[in-house]
Amino acid sequence: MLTSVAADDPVIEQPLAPASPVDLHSLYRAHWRYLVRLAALLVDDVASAEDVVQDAFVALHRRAGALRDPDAALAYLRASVVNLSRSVLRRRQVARKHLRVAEPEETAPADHDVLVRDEHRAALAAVRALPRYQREVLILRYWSGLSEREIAQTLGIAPGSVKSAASRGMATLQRVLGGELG
Amino acid sequence: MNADELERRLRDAFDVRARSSVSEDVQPPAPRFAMPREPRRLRMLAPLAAAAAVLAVVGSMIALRNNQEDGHGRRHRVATAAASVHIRMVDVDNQTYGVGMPVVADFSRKFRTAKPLAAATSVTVDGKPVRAAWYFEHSATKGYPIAGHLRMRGFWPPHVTVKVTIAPNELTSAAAIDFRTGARTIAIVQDAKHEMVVMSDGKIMGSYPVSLGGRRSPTVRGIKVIMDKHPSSCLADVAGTYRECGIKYTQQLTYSGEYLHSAPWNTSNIQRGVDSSNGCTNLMPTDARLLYKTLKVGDVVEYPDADGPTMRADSGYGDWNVPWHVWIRGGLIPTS
Repeated sequence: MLTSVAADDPVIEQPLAPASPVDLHSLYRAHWRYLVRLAALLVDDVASAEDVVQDAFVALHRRAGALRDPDAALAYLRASVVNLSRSVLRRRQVARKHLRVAEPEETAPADHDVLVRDEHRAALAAVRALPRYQREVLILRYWSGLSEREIAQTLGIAPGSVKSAASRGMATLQRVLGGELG
Repeated sequence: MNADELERRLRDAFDVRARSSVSEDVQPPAPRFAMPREPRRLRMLAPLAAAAAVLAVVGSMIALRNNQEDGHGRRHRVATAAASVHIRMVDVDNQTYGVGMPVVADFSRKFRTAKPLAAATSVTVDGKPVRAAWYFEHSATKGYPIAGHLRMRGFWPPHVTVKVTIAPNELTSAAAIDFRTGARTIAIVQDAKHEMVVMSDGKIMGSYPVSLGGRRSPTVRGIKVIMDKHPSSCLADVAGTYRECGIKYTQQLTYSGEYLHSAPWNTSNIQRGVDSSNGCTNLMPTDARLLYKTLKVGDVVEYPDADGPTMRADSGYGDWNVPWHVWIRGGLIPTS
């Protein structure tokens, strides 16, 4: 479920400023990299991540109202990226199931191999194996720099659920990675 | 490993993974939200469809008698087909066109050889005979599966009267059309410079910044001819998933949906020299307006270094992309 940006916004009663394409372009320039990185963490594949971000901007483009406040627009984009990344993963799962794609589950893209050390790779693989909300919460919490409230808003869940998902996720990682390192 | 160590390790891993996915020196590609306004494979919407598809008002209907014997393999068709082939010419009579304008005729069915038609066709420029040749392609026009284009080796000379005469012969009855050419106006769109330079009768009229097709939908390369123009168009993709009205100053270049047009939503990419359209040539609104006024149907727009494949001859007035030695053989229907 997407965060409803307009509904919570205090300036909703003010007349809408015309949504200028320039705003969207500068938003795009300012946040493209950040959002692709977020999507790449979520879907673990840069090409899909770029697609996800393009789709998120197209969605925002259709909702011109969200543009009047850059922060609200960014929140909307973040929520879209999370949502669309879920769709990518779901599609990928379905494709695996039905097409029996002969591809090992844990294959990482080439850029991943070159730049990511073993230690990091193990951590990322462990995160990937977590349930959806736990994985998303950990990525948002330890990479995106969002507050608990913002994470809750992005995921469309209660702040309490963010907390519990984080602690359950960390407990699992502790068990998996701690054991591995001995 | 305690909680702090685990947290640090996670932060590091996420950070490294994030950086490796998009490094600092990677520039964002052209945003897709700026593109859906002119998706690839545009077509004119219903009210305009007739005008766009037939290119211009259809002129004389000439019944041509087809005396050719059909081969054994086509006995079936011979039995059901009418004895005559209908030809209709794009009505260019008494109008002024650019020097790249081909003479176009649509034929109601395929015939085996165009030799009699070719032999009976004569073309004069200001009264002096010139050499011109027919070239045949499949046509998408309903009821007229074959299109024939007639042109000289090079563009028509500027500021002349062109007369095309088809004499009575074993294939056809008599027909004639004539039209005038205007200035020799040629626009060259250089993708490397993101610039369109327009020359008219040897003088540079101006140069205008453009944004061409992005990585996923590159603009096709080669020599195009303005086929049709509208002050404001509704364009949609063939799948029907997209529809946009109010696109200003559209000048059509290919059936695949490339246009010159005003792109007020894409001015930043036009000015920064970033290719981001879906194949169209996006122009600044003032430039698009000026060029809409100055360019005419038949004017030549060349794309020597665009990223896409070379324009197909049957994707519009793609005539000038066919080398003369290939052209004179007649294409789909041999002329000799």
